Amino acid sequence: MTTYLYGLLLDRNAHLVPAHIAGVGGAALRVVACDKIGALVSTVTTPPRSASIDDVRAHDHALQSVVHHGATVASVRFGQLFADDDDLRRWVGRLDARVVRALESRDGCVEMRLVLALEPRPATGAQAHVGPGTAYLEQLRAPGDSVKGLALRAALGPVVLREHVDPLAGGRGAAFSHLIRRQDEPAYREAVASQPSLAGGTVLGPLAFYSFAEADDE
Amino acid sequence: MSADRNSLEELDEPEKLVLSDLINRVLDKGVMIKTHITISVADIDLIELDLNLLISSVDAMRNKRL
Repeated sequence: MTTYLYGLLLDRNAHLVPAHIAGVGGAALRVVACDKIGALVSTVTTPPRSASIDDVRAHDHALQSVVHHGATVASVRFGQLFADDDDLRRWVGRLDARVVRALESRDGCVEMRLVLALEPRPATGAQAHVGPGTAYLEQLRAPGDSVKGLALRAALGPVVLREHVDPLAGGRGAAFSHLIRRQDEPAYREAVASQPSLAGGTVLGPLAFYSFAEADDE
Repeated sequence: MSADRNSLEELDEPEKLVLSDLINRVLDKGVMIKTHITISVADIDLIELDLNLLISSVDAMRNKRL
């Protein structure tokens, strides 16, 4: 029997985690108190040392379910295994202070992700109006271009508190991570929908913090 | 993994990107508590889907170990 770790939350929010959420291998999630941090874990008999799609989905789905029930959660990278709960507590006790700061300063926030596919480049002719999403993706396509400094945040407005951008699948698309207040999800979706150039995108969330799990200079 | 393979072949491009994002964020993002985990990638579909992301995931983990 091994303790598998999915994510971290403030222990004061542990009451928001229901008992029926299933994780990797179908095992039920539970919260292990580690001082002011609560660790979202399940007990697994067969540790997932291989990243199958099913296990990756189960990891993410468990976190999404907890977020759905109102908790603010920092995701933990796939495959974090501990001999038992005491071993887990020892490791969480060494947790980077930036994670605790992120959970405290961003309590009540969620991460949204906007996944955009790259449309085929027109063969000839001048392009009509190019929105911020298209402009960003066009720059992604150019070999060697940096993704840093390019953002949708300004276009989406103050509903977005922080933004992180990842190129996807060899330039075929991009994932924009946006930190928002939980209650602003409808406004966020409306802001995305108001941008014609983002019409083909897929909005995911609310999610646990993947890109915003550690506090930075804010 | 046969069920995964069948479902992957049926995905359209936006769905593949969403799956790429899922793999990227679960394997390559989030808090690292232990610094020496090793996850093998047994599902060949993952490599076919997004080799660059998986390579970067392995690199990220190696960097964390240093």
